[in-house]
Amino acid sequence: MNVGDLQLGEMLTTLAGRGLGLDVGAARARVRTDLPSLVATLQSVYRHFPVEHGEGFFDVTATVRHARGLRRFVRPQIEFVVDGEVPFEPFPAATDLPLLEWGLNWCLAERCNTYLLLHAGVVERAGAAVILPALPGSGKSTLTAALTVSGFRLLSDEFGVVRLDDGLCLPMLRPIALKNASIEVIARLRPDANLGPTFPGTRKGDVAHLGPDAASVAQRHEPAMARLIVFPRYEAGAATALEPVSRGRAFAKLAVNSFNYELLGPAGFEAVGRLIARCDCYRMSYGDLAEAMATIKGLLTAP
Amino acid sequence: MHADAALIWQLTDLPRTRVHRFGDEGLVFNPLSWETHLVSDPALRVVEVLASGPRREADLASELAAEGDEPDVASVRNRLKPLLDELRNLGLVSAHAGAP
Amino acid sequence: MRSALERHVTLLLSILVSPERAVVLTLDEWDLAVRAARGARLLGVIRARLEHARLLGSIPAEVRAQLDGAWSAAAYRRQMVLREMWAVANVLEPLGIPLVALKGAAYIAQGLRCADGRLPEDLDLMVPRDRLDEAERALVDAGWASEKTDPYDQRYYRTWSHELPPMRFAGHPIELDMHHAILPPLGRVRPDARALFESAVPIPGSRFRALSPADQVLHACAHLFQDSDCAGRLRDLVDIDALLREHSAAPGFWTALLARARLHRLGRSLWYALRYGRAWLNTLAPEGVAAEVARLRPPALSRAAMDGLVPRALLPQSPDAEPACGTRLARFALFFRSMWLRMPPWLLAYHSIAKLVRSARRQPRAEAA
Repeated sequence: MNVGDLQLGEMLTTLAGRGLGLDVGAARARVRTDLPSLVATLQSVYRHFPVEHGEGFFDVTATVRHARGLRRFVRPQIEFVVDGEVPFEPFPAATDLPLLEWGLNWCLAERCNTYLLLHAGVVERAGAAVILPALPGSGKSTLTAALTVSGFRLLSDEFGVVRLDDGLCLPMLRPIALKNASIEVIARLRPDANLGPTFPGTRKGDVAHLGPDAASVAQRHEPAMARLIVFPRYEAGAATALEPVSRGRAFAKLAVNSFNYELLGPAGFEAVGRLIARCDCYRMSYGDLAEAMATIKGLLTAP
Repeated sequence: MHADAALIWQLTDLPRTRVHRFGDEGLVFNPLSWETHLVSDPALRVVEVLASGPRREADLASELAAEGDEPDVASVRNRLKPLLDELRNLGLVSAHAGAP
Repeated sequence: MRSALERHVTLLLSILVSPERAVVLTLDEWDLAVRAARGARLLGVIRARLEHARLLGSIPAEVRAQLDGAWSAAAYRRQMVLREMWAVANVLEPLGIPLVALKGAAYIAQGLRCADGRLPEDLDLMVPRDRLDEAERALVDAGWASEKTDPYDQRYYRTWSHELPPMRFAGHPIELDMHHAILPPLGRVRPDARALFESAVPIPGSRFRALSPADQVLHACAHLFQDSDCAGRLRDLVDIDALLREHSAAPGFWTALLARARLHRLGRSLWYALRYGRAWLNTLAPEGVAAEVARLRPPALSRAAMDGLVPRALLPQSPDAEPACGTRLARFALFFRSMWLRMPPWLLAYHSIAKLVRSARRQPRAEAA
């Protein structure tokens, strides 16, 4: 039984009670809310996830609820609550899924320190994982989303989870947050893609979430060996240009784009070192998504 | 100058200092600050040599000069001093006066 | 004070006190315990105790992963404290300024067991009052900068407090708190700062000294019961209990502890620490000193008040609930008490009014990216 198969009534009850369990691969989250709009959106975006009830042990337990006091009614706001704390400023009530997703990501990034957590998209094809570090201007989310609707398995668009002992990448499935024009791009690329509602006017503009597809969800416990690190750089109208990056620089850029590289100290150093030694590293500027994807596919099939 | 020649340089924490070399540059893990430094030769080579054990400053210069096929050891030593000072400021290396 | 403790508190305390009980916990119980421990910043300490008891292999893998994650965070913090100590010693030691490490930094430098799994945020150091200005200038020259730029805050710290405004070296995660005493100088209780220095003990392999074992315990007691509002500070009580266990073995420790408590006039704080420590952590004073400890007992009214306030304020809140109204009141009352103890009445009034008049701006929480 998947989340998408539940009756809405059951969803409401579960989320208002012990909570809905979500096994996203490398972590397990429990979500609680009494906001009906969020319940419906969750059901849509997480529809392929098996139903887990809120018993047992979870890495994070989060609640999204109305803000207290006046802000419940006047320009209503909602809060993200984790373990009795409200760590962030409230969001406008209409932006419920963005708040939940953002909050969960923040918690996971802070807690999952038995893994190296790169800030990167990770996809997989034919047994090889591709790491797409999330530098500003990379277009990483759009590129990751496009790859996952074009035959690549999604491990994550936010967390490159690397196991410290063997260097394998693990899935941490998150709905992919697409912004502004990217929403339309992905919708056109794959009209049957599982796109959640569009939230207009967030701090980042319009945001919609691409739910992880059934195959990626089914394989969320399958690790993958990284073979390729591509630093993407999106520039409208640019021709696709691929350049090798020196391993030293790639190491530095990867480490800087990590949630917990510094915290892990020597273990992080070794993990990134092994990753770099094993992978081919490139910088890719692109303006055309199809070309970018073809380039990446080409790198994977090269001898 | 003579006093300096007898200075013995060593990695502050030899067992925990790590190096990954990629070509002529590499990454050095600083066990004191847990920072990672992107370091190129010759500084990287200095760290690697000291990773095999402490060296008197003069000997370090000779070794590097020999590796680099440089006959002018004094000039190597002059370039070495600021490098060592910087590595010391980072906490990667330390020095103490050697026996006469 | 024998009221029933909430389930998450009972679970947390039982793992702390008797780690072997942890192996029979269900996943549901672990979930509650880990969440409570995380909120109380005790998750790393839990792992340390399980490891000491050789029980890490007997707990569920998913729980172990979270404990290990917390352990990594603690290891990072520990190293950052050591690094900060190294950097500060480089600046201050050449000036011949005596350096005494306080609290968590001392526990780390001394390799005390109670350091394991802690999450220090600050480096607390004590220097003689007449060297404080010189120390500050040297640190500023070397790259540290004051964190509080509000002129009122600056004046408050410098004139009335026992510490400088916190400083930070750009980019370093650990804040530097320079003290010249362990409690505010105009407070109602004034420990003997010179005696603290005179009894300070060397730390092998370190350029710092530490307070003597008795003073170290008393400082922790004072910090919790004089200088704080106890809010969520179970971890401080855990520290005190651990320090007592560590130092108890040394002959003469308890005699020294009680003597120093009298000298520094910190008997009351010690008494509270022993009382709540015994209630929640099985802290035990040796039988021989029971009579002496009893002599430190505060008046009945104070005891009753603290019994009403401290459990509410200090014990962690349920991870699934908002702090109850009673808790918030208790924390406020204890906060007020700590301010009362910190300053004479005229200064307290001035400080309160000054704070009211300056528009109170809540520290902004994290902004969504």
